[in-house]
Amino acid sequence: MASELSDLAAKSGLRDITKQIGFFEYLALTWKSRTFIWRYSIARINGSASQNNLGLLWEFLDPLLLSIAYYLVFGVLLDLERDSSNFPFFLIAGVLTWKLFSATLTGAVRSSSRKGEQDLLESIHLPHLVVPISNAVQNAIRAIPVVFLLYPAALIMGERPHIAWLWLPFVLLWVALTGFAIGLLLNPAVKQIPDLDNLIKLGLRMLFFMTGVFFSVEKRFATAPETIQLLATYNPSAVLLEMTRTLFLFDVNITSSAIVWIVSFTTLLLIIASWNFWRTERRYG
Amino acid sequence: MAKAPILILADVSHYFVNRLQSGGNNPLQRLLTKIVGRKQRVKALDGLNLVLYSGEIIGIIGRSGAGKSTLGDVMSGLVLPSSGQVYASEKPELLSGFSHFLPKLSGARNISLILAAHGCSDEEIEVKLPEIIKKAKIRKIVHQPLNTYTKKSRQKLRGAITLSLLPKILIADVALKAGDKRRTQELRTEISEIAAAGGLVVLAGQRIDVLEDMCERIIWLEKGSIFMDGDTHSVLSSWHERYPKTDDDEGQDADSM
Repeated sequence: MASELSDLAAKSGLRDITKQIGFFEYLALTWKSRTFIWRYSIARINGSASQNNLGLLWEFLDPLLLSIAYYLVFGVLLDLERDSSNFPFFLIAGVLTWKLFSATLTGAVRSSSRKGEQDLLESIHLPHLVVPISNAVQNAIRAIPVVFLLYPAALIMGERPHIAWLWLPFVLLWVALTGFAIGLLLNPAVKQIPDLDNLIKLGLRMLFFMTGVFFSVEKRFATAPETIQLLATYNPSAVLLEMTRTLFLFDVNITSSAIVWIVSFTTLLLIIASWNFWRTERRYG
Repeated sequence: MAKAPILILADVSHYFVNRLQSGGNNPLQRLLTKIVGRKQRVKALDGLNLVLYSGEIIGIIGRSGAGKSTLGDVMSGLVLPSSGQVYASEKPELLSGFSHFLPKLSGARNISLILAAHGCSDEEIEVKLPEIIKKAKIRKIVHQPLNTYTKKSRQKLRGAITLSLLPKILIADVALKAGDKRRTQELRTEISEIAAAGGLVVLAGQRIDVLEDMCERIIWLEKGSIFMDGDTHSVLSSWHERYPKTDDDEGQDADSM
């Protein structure tokens, strides 16, 4: 019976709407949804901002207050101030870059279980990839304007303007893309085993402490065994922080091999994570 | 002219997985279920074979839990069946509840968002937006948050958005209401026009009298299987025999969200 019906469908020019489309067609469909992704992200931000009295101002206040707290704990109490010639700026650049990185990562990874998104995907034909992209875009929109505060912060904290400062938007784009790519790679696994979400939170916390948000990786790992040193230096999030700092601080120098590494890492991860998401969408969607 | 198949279901089955919080055969199993839960597979659709033709308005009836909504979801292609295939000439449009609306956003922004989700460009949204506002008669409240709208206004808005997408195949999983009686009748007429233009309309979760009025074919589901499939008169006669008149609305479990 089923094969007769399949033959009839073929004769009638009907297509199997349960069949998965090809990877490139899937990407093209996601690209076609860009108007929706943008509008949805803005709508979500407006919705959440209206829940607090200070609204979007919290996006600025949160990293500022965090930086002050870290400065008091790590700069003053633990005397890590000697890690940089301009430790307050070193710290604020680290905190803001980390915030963007972790925000896009968590946005991409935690998109699978939110009810609003599930309802949307069950009502309208959309490639499910739009949800992690939209969540990452929302978090990036919240975080990126704050990172641009680095310009006035650098001036106030005594740094002299330099042509390298103009690279900041590209660095931020790469920070956001790397966070998104890692989150997207983890997304299908969290859909399958929701408990992994807790492990990811823990992993992100550990990564935060190993990344050099409030210390210089180069200086702190100088006496560590070579393998540890290599891992600490080429830790993608640490490289991203160095990329931001190197634009403003003369005593932070990123090697060209680290830049090649982070560009290759993110590009490759984006391809693998998108492909894996597409491959598993039918199973976990 | 012979009617052409427009939607075909071939051996479609669907299961849900429920996570139980209690139960088990022995004390250890019961304790484990309480701590980590236990998965249970529930069959919602069982090996359905169906051919739906262009120009048809088809009603789906069944008791609560018979699988009407699941069948609507699977037919729409938005929910993948656990096994089997769904063939269609194009992806069907689903007229469902309000869960995909964002209640804190204005009506206008919700319209734009849903149109964008359907692949409309900014220019297309600009054209369709005033038409939908006019059709839904929400001009005065269009910039107010959706959660301040009455249910009738939301129904009107939902219907206007769905019809603006000019679907060829429409699966309606909610009661066809659009505020007042006149507008509801208009909505039903417009939906009938989809079929008249060579499309297909599938109505699930409707009152029996609506189905009697609009459909020429009814599919009766019992426990996820097709119990009867035929012309409206004969299927509904059997239905009334099996479930006396008072059971109509309850049995149908019509959703009037």
